[in-house]
Amino acid sequence: MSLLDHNIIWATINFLVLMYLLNRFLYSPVMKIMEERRAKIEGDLDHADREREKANELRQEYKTKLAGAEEEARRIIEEGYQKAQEKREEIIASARQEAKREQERARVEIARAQAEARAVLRDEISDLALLAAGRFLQRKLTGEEHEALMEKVVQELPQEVGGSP
Amino acid sequence: MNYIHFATFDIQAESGAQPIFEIFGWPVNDTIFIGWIISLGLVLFSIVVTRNLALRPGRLQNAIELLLEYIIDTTEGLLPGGGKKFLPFIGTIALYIGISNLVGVLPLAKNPTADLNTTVAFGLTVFLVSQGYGMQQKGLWRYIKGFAEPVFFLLPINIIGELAKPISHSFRLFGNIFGGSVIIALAAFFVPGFIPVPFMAWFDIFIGLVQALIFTMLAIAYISVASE
Repeated sequence: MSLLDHNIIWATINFLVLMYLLNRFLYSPVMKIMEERRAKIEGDLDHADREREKANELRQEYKTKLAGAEEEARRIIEEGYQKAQEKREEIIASARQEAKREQERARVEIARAQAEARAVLRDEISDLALLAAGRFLQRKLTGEEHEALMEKVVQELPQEVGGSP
Repeated sequence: MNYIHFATFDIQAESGAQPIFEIFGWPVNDTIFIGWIISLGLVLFSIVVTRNLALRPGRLQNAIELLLEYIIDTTEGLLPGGGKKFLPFIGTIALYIGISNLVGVLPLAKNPTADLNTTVAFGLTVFLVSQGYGMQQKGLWRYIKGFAEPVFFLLPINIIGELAKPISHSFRLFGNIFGGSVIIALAAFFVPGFIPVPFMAWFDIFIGLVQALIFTMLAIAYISVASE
């Protein structure tokens, strides 16, 4: 028995055919799926990167918007405060005016009442004085005397009862 | 003397390759036939495994991918850029030689690698591939000039060295596996009641795996050296 014979041909054919078949049924499909997985992972990572970027942008946008909204709110509050202040001033001013008007009216009223009272008092006093004088004289004064007396009394009167203010 | 003669005869039958049938008048050894069965098994296994590959691998697919990646990475270490290109070649050598070295533990199965025809077939193929790849990578002139380096008179030594590679490559594997099976056959012959489990574990499994690794690594190294 020789160590090397025709069997080397069978062995070589076996090797080559096995290599072909394994390449077709084992290496190629497995390498393909590994490549697919690699591509998928890469794609996923890229996608994740993109998403993160997008999220960052969105966040930035929201931040800007939020800042804008805060600014707006402050402005509105400020404005409201300003308006309220103005309104307050206005109200106070109008109230003050009203009060002044009221005061004025009251003063006029008082003056009017005073004048009225003074007139009434003068009449009363003149009547009273006339009566008293009549009694004192025990006679009725004539028209002329009466007038003269009245004049005299009135002339003396303002110093005590109140003349012109 | 008679005893020894009887023993050697028996060992031939036990561990040497025996022709079992003929194709076109050419004999087919039992070792070669077992090699065919191994190849068939590998192909069927591949078909079953790759029938439903998924992006999220199962245990089996994971193991296969790990093995192929290991082969690619090992090749890449010695032959940068050649990992995927040489996967069919190196992977087939690793798988086929590995299983052929281990199959001897099964009863009635001989190692295909205990037949010089198998190992020389692989050794020669590796030789042809390495020389061809070297020629392709370096160009014909640089390839030929490579034999006359570093000095011209080393040309015959370089050629002999190159030709010695496939011989040592295939005879190392053959010797280790055949020797192992001879020792196991001897042990089984002289101590028939003793099941040579430790022998088989050592020669068939450990030596078998180591030799498969060595054969594969050398194949990569030869291709790498020839292309530089």
